[in-house]
Amino acid sequence: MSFKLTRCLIILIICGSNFMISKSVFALTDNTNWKPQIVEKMYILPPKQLNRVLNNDFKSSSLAAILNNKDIKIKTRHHRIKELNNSILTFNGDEKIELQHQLIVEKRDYIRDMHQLLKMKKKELKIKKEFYKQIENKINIKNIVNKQNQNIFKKRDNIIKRVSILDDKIFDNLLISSGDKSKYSEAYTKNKNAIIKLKQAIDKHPMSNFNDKNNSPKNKINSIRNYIEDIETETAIIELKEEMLNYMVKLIALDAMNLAENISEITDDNNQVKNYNDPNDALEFFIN
Amino acid sequence: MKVKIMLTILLLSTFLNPVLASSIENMERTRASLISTMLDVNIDADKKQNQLKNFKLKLLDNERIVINDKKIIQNPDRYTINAFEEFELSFLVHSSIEKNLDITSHWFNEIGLTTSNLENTRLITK
Repeated sequence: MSFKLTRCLIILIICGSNFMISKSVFALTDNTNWKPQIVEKMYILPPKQLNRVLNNDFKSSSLAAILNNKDIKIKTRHHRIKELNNSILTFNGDEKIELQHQLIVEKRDYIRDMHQLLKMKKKELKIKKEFYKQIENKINIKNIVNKQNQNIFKKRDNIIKRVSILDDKIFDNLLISSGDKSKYSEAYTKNKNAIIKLKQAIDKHPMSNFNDKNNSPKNKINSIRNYIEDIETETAIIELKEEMLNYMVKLIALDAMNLAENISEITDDNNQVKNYNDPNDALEFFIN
Repeated sequence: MKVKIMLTILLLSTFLNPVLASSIENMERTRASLISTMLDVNIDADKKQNQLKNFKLKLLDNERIVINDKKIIQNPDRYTINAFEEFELSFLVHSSIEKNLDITSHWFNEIGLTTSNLENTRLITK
């Protein structure tokens, strides 16, 4: 009897603590950290490759490792809850109460782990969003600077075109007639031919047209803004899931209260005491 | 006394500023040397030709370095902007070869000292 009372008390404690779970904050460990390193080359990568680089960086972080572990833990709990649900149907009496108690505890732990998982997912999304915002700001600044320097870029391109036609003429008129060539002019001729061949190879490459199309400043900004929008959508979905968890917590509290109620009814039935202090019971002693 | 110390510190601080020679400055320095040799009347003809030939080769290298230098385009100063806007006067070797002229004639043409202009000048006295 005292054991059953103790169990009843434990269930009531669970019931009380479950109300607090819905409002409490689960602290994350200090190891849940991810700091994507922004290097200069990221600003010139096409958006798709940039996204891939970021995801790979995340996969090698401690946050991803802990997320994966938590995910596996939740799957195990999910499986146990399913087993307990099936087992409850086949038992009666004290064993059934014991299994119901275990089920409530398991569900509580499941919610706690799920809450932590969602928090870590939100952290991952927040860091990704900050990263893309930084890239977007840098691209915007670069576009403003480029707009101001557009004139000089055009002039330089025109000069390069004019000068590239003159290379043969320079070689014939100047370098051959002078007899001696400087170190730079020898290296220039050699490397220029190599650069022309490399440029031709780049133009023929199947990925070069694809990258040019996706890497234009306007397309790049739009792609990055789309990524930011996707992240905000995912964050909103996680917040809906967190709300769902709150309702789950309330249901567990009600289950715990129900179990406590059932146990107290059983103990009341067993403890029924006959009242020997009624005068009607002693009447026969006084009449005769 | 205090004023003397301050002036000394100011003078010393000017020595601390490093001289950064960008490719544009190198090109302009070489061009200036070439033009001053061109205009120097005190050098004899053979020596002048030799010096001009050497400066021409050096200027060609400098011009090529400036054209291929991407750094100066990123934050261009006014010298860079002027150089790219005035191709004919800045890149003397390339523009003289483009026009099939020797460098001296090309430079005189660009600053307006053509044969016809000189023939048309008149001395007016009042």
